Amino acid sequence: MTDQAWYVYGIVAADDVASVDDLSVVSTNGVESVTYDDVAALVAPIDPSRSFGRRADLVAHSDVLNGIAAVGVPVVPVAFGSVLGDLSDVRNSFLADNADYWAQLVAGLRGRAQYTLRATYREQAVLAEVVRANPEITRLHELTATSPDDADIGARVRLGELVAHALDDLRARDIDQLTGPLMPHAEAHRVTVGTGTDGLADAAFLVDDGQRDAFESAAEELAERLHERVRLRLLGPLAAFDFVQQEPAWAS
Amino acid sequence: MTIATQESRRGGYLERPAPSGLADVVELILDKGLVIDLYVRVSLVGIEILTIDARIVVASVDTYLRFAEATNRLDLYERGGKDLTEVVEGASESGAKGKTSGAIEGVKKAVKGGDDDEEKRRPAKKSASRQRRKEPSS
Repeated sequence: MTDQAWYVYGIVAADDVASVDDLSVVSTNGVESVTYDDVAALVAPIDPSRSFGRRADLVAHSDVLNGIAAVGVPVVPVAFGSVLGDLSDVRNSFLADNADYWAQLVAGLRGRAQYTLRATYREQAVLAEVVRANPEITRLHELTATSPDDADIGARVRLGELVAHALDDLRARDIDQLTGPLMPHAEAHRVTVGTGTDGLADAAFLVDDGQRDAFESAAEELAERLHERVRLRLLGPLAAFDFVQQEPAWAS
Repeated sequence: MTIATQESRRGGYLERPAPSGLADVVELILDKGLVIDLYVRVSLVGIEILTIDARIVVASVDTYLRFAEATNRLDLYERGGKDLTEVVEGASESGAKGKTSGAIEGVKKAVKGGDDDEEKRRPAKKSASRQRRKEPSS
Protein backbone atom coordinates (compact mmCIF):
# COMPACT_ATOMS: atom_id res chain seq x y z
CA MET A 1 0.00 0.00 0.00
CA THR A 2 1.15 3.53 0.53
CA ASP A 3 4.15 4.28 2.62
CA GLN A 4 3.37 7.93 2.59
CA ALA A 5 0.43 9.63 4.17
CA TRP A 6 -0.61 13.24 4.68
CA TYR A 7 -0.53 15.16 7.91
CA VAL A 8 -3.27 17.79 8.01
CA TYR A 9 -2.41 21.09 9.67
CA GLY A 10 -5.40 23.27 8.96
CA ILE A 11 -7.70 25.01 6.52
CA VAL A 12 -7.28 28.40 4.91
CA ALA A 13 -9.11 30.34 2.23
CA ALA A 14 -7.96 29.45 -1.27
CA ASP A 15 -7.22 33.14 -1.86
CA ASP A 16 -4.71 33.10 1.01
CA VAL A 17 -2.67 30.16 -0.25
CA ALA A 18 -0.12 32.41 -1.97
CA SER A 19 0.51 34.32 1.27
CA VAL A 20 0.85 31.08 3.19
CA ASP A 21 3.31 29.63 0.66
CA ASP A 22 5.54 32.67 1.18
CA LEU A 23 6.14 31.88 4.84
CA SER A 24 9.44 30.28 5.76
CA VAL A 25 7.83 28.23 8.55
CA VAL A 26 5.61 26.70 5.90
CA SER A 27 8.38 25.72 3.50
CA THR A 28 10.66 24.56 6.32
CA ASN A 29 8.01 22.10 7.43
CA GLY A 30 7.21 20.83 3.96
CA VAL A 31 3.67 22.16 4.05
CA GLU A 32 1.71 22.11 0.80
CA SER A 33 -1.78 23.14 -0.09
CA VAL A 34 -4.68 21.23 -1.59
CA THR A 35 -7.47 23.40 -2.91
CA TYR A 36 -11.15 22.80 -3.43
CA ASP A 37 -13.35 25.69 -4.46
CA ASP A 38 -12.76 28.52 -1.98
CA VAL A 39 -10.86 26.59 0.64
CA ALA A 40 -7.53 24.85 0.90
CA ALA A 41 -6.14 22.26 3.26
CA LEU A 42 -2.57 22.63 4.47
CA VAL A 43 -0.86 19.26 4.52
CA ALA A 44 2.57 17.73 4.69
CA PRO A 45 3.81 14.29 3.71
CA ILE A 46 4.41 11.96 6.63
CA ASP A 47 5.71 8.44 7.00
CA PRO A 48 2.81 6.61 8.69
CA SER A 49 5.04 3.96 10.18
CA ARG A 50 7.06 6.26 12.37
CA SER A 51 6.24 7.07 15.96
CA PHE A 52 4.64 10.41 16.31
CA GLY A 53 4.30 12.90 19.11
CA ARG A 54 7.90 13.87 19.63
CA ARG A 55 8.84 17.35 20.65
CA ALA A 56 9.56 18.28 17.04
CA ASP A 57 6.08 17.19 16.00
CA LEU A 58 4.39 19.27 18.67
CA VAL A 59 6.51 22.29 17.87
CA ALA A 60 5.94 21.98 14.11
CA HIS A 61 2.18 21.86 14.56
CA SER A 62 2.21 24.91 16.77
CA ASP A 63 4.77 26.87 14.74
CA VAL A 64 3.06 26.36 11.39
CA LEU A 65 -0.38 27.36 12.58
CA ASN A 66 0.77 30.27 14.73
CA GLY A 67 3.10 31.48 11.98
CA ILE A 68 0.17 31.69 9.60
CA ALA A 69 -2.05 33.44 12.13
CA ALA A 70 0.76 35.87 12.93
CA VAL A 71 0.61 37.33 9.44
CA GLY A 72 -3.12 37.84 9.63
CA VAL A 73 -4.18 34.85 7.55
CA PRO A 74 -7.17 33.14 9.15
CA VAL A 75 -6.53 29.42 9.61
CA VAL A 76 -8.72 26.73 11.12
CA PRO A 77 -6.36 24.51 13.14
CA VAL A 78 -6.92 20.79 12.80
CA ALA A 79 -6.40 18.57 15.83
CA PHE A 80 -2.81 17.50 16.42
CA GLY A 81 -1.98 14.14 14.90
CA SER A 82 -4.56 14.03 12.10
CA VAL A 83 -3.35 12.03 9.14
CA LEU A 84 -5.20 11.02 6.00
CA GLY A 85 -4.12 8.32 3.58
CA ASP A 86 -3.84 10.25 0.37
CA LEU A 87 -4.42 13.60 -1.19
CA SER A 88 -7.61 12.59 -2.91
CA ASP A 89 -9.07 11.85 0.52
CA VAL A 90 -8.01 15.29 1.64
CA ARG A 91 -9.61 16.96 -1.35
CA ASN A 92 -12.63 14.84 -2.14
CA SER A 93 -13.68 13.79 1.30
CA PHE A 94 -12.35 16.24 3.83
CA LEU A 95 -12.65 19.43 1.79
CA ALA A 96 -15.34 18.70 -0.76
CA ASP A 97 -17.94 17.25 1.60
CA ASN A 98 -17.85 20.28 3.89
CA ALA A 99 -16.57 23.06 1.69
CA ASP A 100 -19.23 25.60 2.62
CA TYR A 101 -18.78 24.96 6.32
CA TRP A 102 -14.99 25.36 6.08
CA ALA A 103 -15.41 28.60 4.17
CA GLN A 104 -17.73 29.86 6.88
CA LEU A 105 -15.32 28.86 9.66
CA VAL A 106 -12.40 30.56 7.96
CA ALA A 107 -14.43 33.70 7.34
CA GLY A 108 -15.42 33.77 11.00
CA LEU A 109 -11.76 33.91 11.97
CA ARG A 110 -10.70 36.62 9.56
CA GLY A 111 -9.47 39.71 11.38
CA ARG A 112 -9.33 37.87 14.69
CA ALA A 113 -6.73 36.06 16.75
CA GLN A 114 -6.60 34.00 19.90
CA TYR A 115 -4.89 35.01 23.09
CA THR A 116 -4.34 32.50 25.86
CA LEU A 117 -3.97 33.71 29.42
CA ARG A 118 -2.38 31.30 31.86
CA ALA A 119 -3.01 32.19 35.48
CA THR A 120 -1.30 30.48 38.38
CA TYR A 121 -1.37 31.25 42.06
CA ARG A 122 1.58 32.30 44.09
CA GLU A 123 1.19 29.30 46.29
CA GLN A 124 2.47 30.71 49.54
CA ALA A 125 0.25 33.78 49.31
CA VAL A 126 -2.88 31.88 48.45
CA LEU A 127 -2.42 29.09 50.95
CA ALA A 128 -1.82 31.66 53.67
CA GLU A 129 -5.06 33.33 52.62
CA VAL A 130 -6.94 30.06 52.80
CA VAL A 131 -5.54 29.15 56.21
CA ARG A 132 -6.36 32.57 57.60
CA ALA A 133 -9.91 32.54 56.29
CA ASN A 134 -10.98 29.18 57.72
CA PRO A 135 -10.70 28.42 61.45
CA GLU A 136 -10.92 24.67 60.95
CA ILE A 137 -8.09 24.79 58.45
CA THR A 138 -6.06 26.88 60.87
CA ARG A 139 -6.69 24.35 63.61
CA LEU A 140 -5.72 21.34 61.51
CA HIS A 141 -2.66 23.11 60.18
CA GLU A 142 -1.46 23.88 63.68
CA LEU A 143 -2.18 20.32 64.76
CA THR A 144 -0.26 18.67 61.93
CA ALA A 145 2.45 21.13 61.00
CA THR A 146 4.83 20.18 63.75
CA SER A 147 4.27 16.44 63.95
CA PRO A 148 6.07 13.98 61.66
CA ASP A 149 4.57 13.52 58.19
CA ASP A 150 3.31 10.05 58.98
CA ALA A 151 1.49 11.08 62.16
CA ASP A 152 -2.10 12.28 62.32
CA ILE A 153 -2.87 10.99 58.85
CA GLY A 154 -6.60 11.44 59.34
CA ALA A 155 -6.14 15.07 60.27
CA ARG A 156 -3.79 15.64 57.34
CA VAL A 157 -6.22 14.17 54.87
CA ARG A 158 -8.99 16.30 56.31
CA LEU A 159 -6.75 19.38 56.15
CA GLY A 160 -5.89 18.68 52.55
CA GLU A 161 -9.50 18.11 51.63
CA LEU A 162 -10.60 21.39 53.22
CA VAL A 163 -7.79 23.27 51.53
CA ALA A 164 -8.64 21.70 48.19
CA HIS A 165 -12.25 22.77 48.49
CA ALA A 166 -11.34 26.24 49.69
CA LEU A 167 -9.14 26.62 46.62
CA ASP A 168 -12.01 25.50 44.38
CA ASP A 169 -14.14 28.31 45.78
CA LEU A 170 -11.33 30.81 45.51
CA ARG A 171 -10.68 29.86 41.90
CA ALA A 172 -14.27 30.46 40.93
CA ARG A 173 -14.14 33.98 42.36
CA ASP A 174 -10.73 34.71 40.88
CA ILE A 175 -11.76 33.49 37.45
CA ASP A 176 -14.47 36.15 37.41
CA GLN A 177 -11.83 38.72 38.28
CA LEU A 178 -9.77 37.58 35.32
CA THR A 179 -12.45 37.37 32.70
CA GLY A 180 -14.43 40.46 33.71
CA PRO A 181 -11.98 43.08 32.42
CA LEU A 182 -11.05 41.09 29.33
CA MET A 183 -14.42 39.97 28.01
CA PRO A 184 -15.42 43.41 26.74
CA HIS A 185 -12.47 43.23 24.33
CA ALA A 186 -13.14 39.71 23.07
CA GLU A 187 -15.67 38.09 20.76
CA ALA A 188 -15.64 34.85 22.73
CA HIS A 189 -13.78 33.17 25.52
CA ARG A 190 -13.23 29.70 26.98
CA VAL A 191 -12.03 28.96 30.48
CA THR A 192 -10.33 25.81 31.73
CA VAL A 193 -10.23 25.66 35.52
CA GLY A 194 -6.85 24.91 37.05
CA THR A 195 -6.03 22.29 39.67
CA GLY A 196 -3.56 21.65 42.43
CA THR A 197 -2.18 24.13 44.88
CA ASP A 198 -1.17 26.68 42.30
CA GLY A 199 -3.41 26.22 39.26
CA LEU A 200 -5.91 29.02 38.73
CA ALA A 201 -7.09 28.92 35.12
CA ASP A 202 -6.28 28.93 31.45
CA ALA A 203 -8.46 31.26 29.48
CA ALA A 204 -8.62 31.58 25.70
CA PHE A 205 -9.98 34.75 24.13
CA LEU A 206 -10.87 35.44 20.52
CA VAL A 207 -9.95 39.06 19.91
CA ASP A 208 -10.65 41.32 16.92
CA ASP A 209 -7.56 42.97 15.49
CA GLY A 210 -9.01 46.35 16.37
CA GLN A 211 -9.33 45.35 20.03
CA ARG A 212 -5.83 43.96 20.48
CA ASP A 213 -4.28 47.00 22.08
CA ALA A 214 -7.18 47.42 24.47
CA PHE A 215 -7.10 43.72 25.33
CA GLU A 216 -3.36 43.70 25.97
CA SER A 217 -3.59 46.85 28.10
CA ALA A 218 -6.40 45.34 30.15
CA ALA A 219 -4.30 42.20 30.66
CA GLU A 220 -1.31 44.25 31.79
CA GLU A 221 -3.47 46.15 34.28
CA LEU A 222 -4.85 42.89 35.57
CA ALA A 223 -1.36 41.44 36.04
CA GLU A 224 -0.29 44.45 38.01
CA ARG A 225 -3.40 44.47 40.15
CA LEU A 226 -3.21 40.78 41.03
CA HIS A 227 0.53 40.30 41.10
CA GLU A 228 0.84 39.57 44.81
CA ARG A 229 -1.39 36.52 44.55
CA VAL A 230 -1.46 35.57 40.88
CA ARG A 231 1.06 35.15 38.12
CA LEU A 232 -0.23 35.90 34.64
CA ARG A 233 1.29 34.78 31.36
CA LEU A 234 -0.19 35.87 28.07
CA LEU A 235 0.41 33.96 24.84
CA GLY A 236 -0.63 35.42 21.55
CA PRO A 237 -1.67 36.44 19.05
CA LEU A 238 -2.18 32.76 18.14
CA ALA A 239 -4.18 30.61 15.77
CA ALA A 240 -7.68 29.92 17.08
CA PHE A 241 -7.06 26.49 18.61
CA ASP A 242 -9.83 26.86 21.16
CA PHE A 243 -12.55 28.19 18.90
CA VAL A 244 -13.10 25.65 16.18
CA GLN A 245 -14.35 22.54 17.82
CA GLN A 246 -18.04 22.46 17.07
CA GLU A 247 -20.61 24.78 15.55
CA PRO A 248 -19.20 28.10 16.64
CA ALA A 249 -22.02 30.09 18.20
CA TRP A 250 -20.04 33.30 17.87
CA ALA A 251 -19.81 33.04 14.10
CA SER A 252 -23.53 33.55 13.50
CA MET B 1 5.71 41.25 15.19
CA THR B 2 6.47 39.05 18.14
CA ILE B 3 9.79 40.13 19.55
CA ALA B 4 11.92 38.35 22.06
CA THR B 5 12.08 41.07 24.66
CA GLN B 6 9.03 41.99 26.55
CA GLU B 7 7.63 45.47 26.13
CA SER B 8 5.52 46.46 29.01
CA ARG B 9 3.64 49.66 29.28
CA ARG B 10 2.94 49.33 32.96
CA GLY B 11 4.64 47.63 35.85
CA GLY B 12 5.92 44.71 33.80
CA TYR B 13 3.90 42.08 35.66
CA LEU B 14 2.35 40.47 32.61
CA GLU B 15 4.65 37.79 31.21
CA ARG B 16 4.73 37.49 27.42
CA PRO B 17 6.91 34.45 26.74
CA ALA B 18 8.29 34.48 23.22
CA PRO B 19 8.97 31.87 22.20
CA SER B 20 6.79 29.89 24.56
CA GLY B 21 8.13 26.69 26.09
CA LEU B 22 7.15 23.11 25.37
CA ALA B 23 4.62 23.01 28.21
CA ASP B 24 2.83 25.94 26.64
CA VAL B 25 2.82 24.23 23.26
CA VAL B 26 1.37 21.04 24.71
CA GLU B 27 -1.37 22.91 26.54
CA LEU B 28 -2.14 24.97 23.48
CA ILE B 29 -2.56 22.20 20.95
CA LEU B 30 -3.62 19.04 22.76
CA ASP B 31 -7.36 18.31 22.67
CA LYS B 32 -7.86 21.44 20.62
CA GLY B 33 -8.59 22.17 17.01
CA LEU B 34 -10.91 20.60 14.53
CA VAL B 35 -11.51 16.86 14.96
CA ILE B 36 -11.54 15.77 11.37
CA ASP B 37 -12.80 12.23 12.06
CA LEU B 38 -16.22 13.78 12.35
CA TYR B 39 -16.05 15.20 8.87
CA VAL B 40 -14.45 12.58 6.66
CA ARG B 41 -15.88 9.47 5.06
CA VAL B 42 -12.51 7.79 5.09
CA SER B 43 -10.56 6.72 8.13
CA LEU B 44 -7.69 8.58 9.62
CA VAL B 45 -4.44 6.75 9.29
CA GLY B 46 -3.68 5.18 12.61
CA ILE B 47 -0.24 6.51 13.28
CA GLU B 48 1.20 5.52 16.57
CA ILE B 49 0.93 8.53 18.82
CA LEU B 50 3.14 8.55 21.84
CA THR B 51 1.14 8.78 25.01
CA ILE B 52 1.04 12.22 26.46
CA ASP B 53 -0.34 11.61 29.86
CA ALA B 54 -1.08 15.09 31.02
CA ARG B 55 -4.78 15.03 31.65
CA ILE B 56 -5.57 12.82 34.59
CA VAL B 57 -6.97 14.35 37.74
CA VAL B 58 -7.07 12.07 40.73
CA ALA B 59 -9.08 13.27 43.69
CA SER B 60 -7.81 10.91 46.29
CA VAL B 61 -6.28 10.61 49.67
CA ASP B 62 -2.92 10.99 48.02
CA THR B 63 -3.96 14.27 46.43
CA TYR B 64 -5.33 15.61 49.68
CA LEU B 65 -2.13 14.69 51.50
CA ARG B 66 -0.25 16.77 48.98
CA PHE B 67 -2.48 19.74 49.66
CA ALA B 68 -1.85 19.30 53.39
CA GLU B 69 1.85 19.04 52.77
CA ALA B 70 1.86 22.26 50.76
CA THR B 71 -0.14 24.04 53.43
CA ASN B 72 2.18 22.84 56.15
CA ARG B 73 5.18 24.16 54.28
CA LEU B 74 3.90 27.60 55.16
CA ASP B 75 5.90 28.85 58.08
CA LEU B 76 2.82 30.06 59.87
CA TYR B 77 3.16 28.07 62.99
CA GLU B 78 4.92 30.26 65.46
CA ARG B 79 4.59 30.26 69.21
CA GLY B 80 2.75 33.55 69.22
CA GLY B 81 1.44 33.52 65.69
CA LYS B 82 3.13 35.55 63.00
CA ASP B 83 1.44 38.40 61.22
CA LEU B 84 0.26 36.78 58.03
CA THR B 85 0.80 39.81 55.86
CA GLU B 86 4.51 39.62 56.64
CA VAL B 87 4.59 36.00 55.64
CA VAL B 88 2.72 36.69 52.41
CA GLU B 89 4.95 39.55 51.34
CA GLY B 90 8.12 37.69 52.08
CA ALA B 91 7.03 34.49 50.48
CA SER B 92 5.11 35.62 47.46
CA GLU B 93 8.03 35.30 45.08
CA SER B 94 8.96 31.78 46.07
CA GLY B 95 5.56 30.26 45.51
CA ALA B 96 6.10 29.25 41.93
CA LYS B 97 9.68 28.14 42.33
CA GLY B 98 10.41 24.58 41.44
CA LYS B 99 6.96 23.89 40.10
CA THR B 100 6.57 22.07 36.88
CA SER B 101 3.14 21.56 35.45
CA GLY B 102 1.77 18.10 34.98
CA ALA B 103 1.94 18.74 31.27
CA ILE B 104 5.70 19.09 31.23
CA GLU B 105 6.12 15.82 33.05
CA GLY B 106 3.66 14.09 30.82
CA VAL B 107 5.44 15.30 27.73
CA LYS B 108 8.83 14.40 29.13
CA LYS B 109 7.54 10.91 29.61
CA ALA B 110 6.51 10.81 26.00
CA VAL B 111 9.40 12.48 24.33
CA LYS B 112 12.32 11.32 26.43
CA GLY B 113 11.07 7.88 27.32
CA GLY B 114 10.34 8.75 30.91
CA ASP B 115 11.91 10.43 33.84
CA ASP B 116 10.23 8.54 36.61
CA ASP B 117 11.92 10.31 39.49
CA GLU B 118 9.97 13.46 38.84
CA GLU B 119 6.69 11.59 38.67
CA LYS B 120 7.05 10.47 42.26
CA ARG B 121 7.08 14.03 43.44
CA ARG B 122 3.92 15.12 41.75
CA PRO B 123 1.28 13.33 39.75
CA ALA B 124 0.64 14.48 36.23
CA LYS B 125 -2.67 16.23 36.28
CA LYS B 126 -4.63 18.84 34.52
CA SER B 127 -8.10 20.19 34.84
CA ALA B 128 -11.08 17.91 34.75
CA SER B 129 -13.75 20.54 34.34
CA ARG B 130 -14.37 23.02 31.63
CA GLN B 131 -16.56 26.05 32.00
CA ARG B 132 -18.53 27.86 29.36
CA ARG B 133 -17.37 25.55 26.63
CA LYS B 134 -19.26 22.95 24.65
CA GLU B 135 -17.90 19.46 24.99
CA PRO B 136 -17.07 18.04 21.57
CA SER B 137 -19.29 15.09 20.80
CA SER B 138 -17.21 12.13 19.83
